[in-house]
Amino acid sequence: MARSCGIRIGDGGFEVVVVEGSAKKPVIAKAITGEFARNSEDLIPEMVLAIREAIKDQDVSSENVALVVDTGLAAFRSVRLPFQDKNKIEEVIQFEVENQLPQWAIDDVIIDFHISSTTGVESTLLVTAIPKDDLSLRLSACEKLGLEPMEAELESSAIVNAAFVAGRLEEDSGCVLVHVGESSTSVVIMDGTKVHSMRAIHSGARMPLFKAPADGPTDPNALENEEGPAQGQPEELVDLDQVVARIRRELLRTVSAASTKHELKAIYVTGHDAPGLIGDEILLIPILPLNALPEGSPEVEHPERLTAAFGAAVRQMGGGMLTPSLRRGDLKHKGNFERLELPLAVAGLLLLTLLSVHFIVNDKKLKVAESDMNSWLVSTNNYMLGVPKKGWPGWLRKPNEELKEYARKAETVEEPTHYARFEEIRRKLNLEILSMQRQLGQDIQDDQPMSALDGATLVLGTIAEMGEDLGRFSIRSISSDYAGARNRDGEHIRVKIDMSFFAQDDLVATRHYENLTAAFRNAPWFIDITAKGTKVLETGEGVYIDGLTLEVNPKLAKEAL
Amino acid sequence: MNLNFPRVVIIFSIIGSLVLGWFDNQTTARLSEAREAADSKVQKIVAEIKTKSHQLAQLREKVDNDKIGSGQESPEAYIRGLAQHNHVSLGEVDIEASTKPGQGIVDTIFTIKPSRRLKGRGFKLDQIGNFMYKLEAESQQVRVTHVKLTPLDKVDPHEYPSGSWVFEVQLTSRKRVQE
Repeated sequence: MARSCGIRIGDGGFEVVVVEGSAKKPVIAKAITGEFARNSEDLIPEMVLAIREAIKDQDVSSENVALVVDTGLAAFRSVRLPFQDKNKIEEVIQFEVENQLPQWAIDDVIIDFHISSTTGVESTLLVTAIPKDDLSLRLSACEKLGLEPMEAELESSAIVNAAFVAGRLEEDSGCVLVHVGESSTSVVIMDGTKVHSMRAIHSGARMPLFKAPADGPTDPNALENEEGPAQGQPEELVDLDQVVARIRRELLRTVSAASTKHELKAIYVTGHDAPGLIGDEILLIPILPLNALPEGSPEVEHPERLTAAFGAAVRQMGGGMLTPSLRRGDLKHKGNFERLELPLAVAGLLLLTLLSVHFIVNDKKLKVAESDMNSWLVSTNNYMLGVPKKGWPGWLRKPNEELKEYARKAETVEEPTHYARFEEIRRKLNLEILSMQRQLGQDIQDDQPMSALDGATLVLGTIAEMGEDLGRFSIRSISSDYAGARNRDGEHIRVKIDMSFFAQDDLVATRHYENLTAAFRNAPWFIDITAKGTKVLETGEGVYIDGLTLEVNPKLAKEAL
Repeated sequence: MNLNFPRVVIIFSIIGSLVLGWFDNQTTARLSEAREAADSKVQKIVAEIKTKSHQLAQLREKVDNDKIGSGQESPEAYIRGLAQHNHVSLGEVDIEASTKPGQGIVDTIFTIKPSRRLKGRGFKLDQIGNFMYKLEAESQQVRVTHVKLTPLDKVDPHEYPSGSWVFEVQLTSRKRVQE
C-alpha cells in the first residue's frame, strides 16, 4: 500500500500526517499535532525534541516525506515571460525576479514558480522566493528526526492540494483558501481550479518569531505581502480578536482587489483557530471551514490544523494539482544513490585507473614474453630452413614449400599464439614425414613381408660360426621362403638345406651334425626344425641329410640384439 | 534520468572497466600461457621439431636414393640395373611379375631367374649374394621372399659342389590397397 508523510513545521507548532491508500482516495493513518517553545536563540533542538517526543512509538513512515513551511517566510511575485517552455523559464526566472527581491541576495534564496496562465506566446508566473537558510533550518530538523523530506512547499500550495483532493474547488466558481498559521496567514485566491494569486498576512494565531520578508512591487494580479507587526522582533502575544480583525481586514482588501473570471463564492478557512472568523462573511461571501480531511481521520484536538500537512502528504503520493518544489539547487533532495554517486564515481575512476595500469603492465610483460618466444621461433626456423642470405644451410635441403612459407610467415603474424604456431610447424613436419614414409613404403613397414634373405643369412651365419665343432661340410642346395601370417606358426621364414658332413667316420660326422642342430636350437630366431635323419655317405666317411628344414623368425634375432 | 557529471563518470567507468577488464583478462590469459609455454613446453617442442627435421632430412635423402620409391625407375628396370651392377654382374635376367592379393594389401611378386639365353651358365655365390643384398638395400619397398640356390651341375652327397650355382629369387613389393 502506498504511504506518504506530510510534516508542517510552523512558528511554534507542528503537524505530522501519515497518509495511506491512493492519491484519489487517501486515508489518514496517523495524525499528530504539537507545540514547541519559540526560543529564537536555539530553535532546532526545541523543535526536534518536541517532534521526536510526539512521534515516538507512532510508526511514522520515513519514506516519501514532504515538508510544509510557514508561508510567512516566503515572498510572492508575479512575472510575465514571452515564452512557455518550462526549461527556458527555469533558466531565466532567477534573473527575472532578482530586481523584484531587493531584500535578499538572489543566491541566498530558492526560487520556485507556478505557471498560472499562458496565452500561447506569453506566460504569467506566480513566483515564490524563500531564503535558503530558513528552509535548510527546517530540513535539517527533519533530517535529525530521521524523516528527511523529499520535497518542501509552502502552506499556501499545500492547502490548495488538500482542497483539490477534497473536492472544494469547482470549475465554474472562485474561492479563497485561508490557512491561519502561528505567525502568518496564507491566502490563496482560486479562479475555478486555477491559482489566481497567493499572499501571506503576517498575523497568525501567535505573533511571528521570524523576520518577515520585505516585499517589493507586485503584479496587480498577485497579492502583495504585508509587513508583519513584529518586523522580526519577538513580541508578546497579542489579543486573538485583534489578530482576527486584522485577518478579516486583509481578506476584505484581498477579495475586493481580486479580478477573477469566476465569482468568488466562498472563503474557506483552515489551520489554527480564528474565533469569530468562520461563520462570518466578507462582501457577502461566506467564510466556511475548509474541512478537507477525509472521513475516518484519527481524532485530534484541532483537526483543521492538519490540512496543510495532509495536502503535502497527498501531493507526495501523486495527488493534488500543484507541484511546487522548494528543494532545488543546493537543497535538492538526495536519495541514497545521489549521496553515493560521487564516491562511486571516484571509485569507478580508481578502478578504471587500476585496470588500465594492470593492463598496461601485463601487455608489456606479454610483449617481452612473446618476443622471447619469437626468438625461439626464428632460431628454430633458421635451424630447419637455414638463412640463404647469409649462406647458412638448414637441415631441410628441399623443404616443402607450404611448410617453408608458413614457418617464415609465423615469425611476423600476431595470431595465433606462438606455441600454436610451433604446433602447426610440427604438424606440417609430421605430414611431410608421413608423405616421405609413404613414398618409401615405410608406412607399411611392419606389414612388409619378412626377408627370406635375412632368414637364409641367419642360418648360414650360424653354420659359419660353428668352426671346428662342425668339421668339414658341404651345402649342396639351399632354399629360403617366406611363409605368410596365415601359417600355423605365424609369419616366418622356412629354410631348407641339403648338407653333407665329412669326417673320419660316420659317428664323428653325426656328432657334428648334432652340434649344428643344437646350435640352431639355441639361436634366438629359432622356431622349429624338421629332419628326416642322416644317412651314411657311400665312402663311409661321413653322413648327409637332405631337406633339413628350419623355421626361423628374423624379427626375434633383431629383438635379441 | 538527469545525467550529471558523477553519473557520466560512473557510466564511463563501468563501460570502460568492462571493456578494459575483458582485454586485461585476455592479456593475462595469453601472458600466463606464454609464460607456461616458455618455461617448459616450448623447449620441448623446439627439440621435437629439430629431431623431426633430422628425420625428415634423412627420409628425403632415402627417397632421393630409392629408385623405386622416388619413381625414377620401374621395378623391372631396378632389378635389371642391379643385376648388371659392378659387384653383381649376373648379366641378363628373366623377370616374371605376378600379383597376389591379401587382406587390404596386394603383393607384386617378381620372379627372377638367369636369362634363358644364358642357360648352362653358373654364378658364384658372392655374385648372387650381392645381388640379393642390393635388391633389398637400394629400395625400402621390396623384400626377397624366395631364394633357391642349387649347384649348376649335379652333386652327389659325398662330393663337393664346384662353386657354380644357379638361382631363383622372388622379390615382393607390398602395397596397401587404396580404398
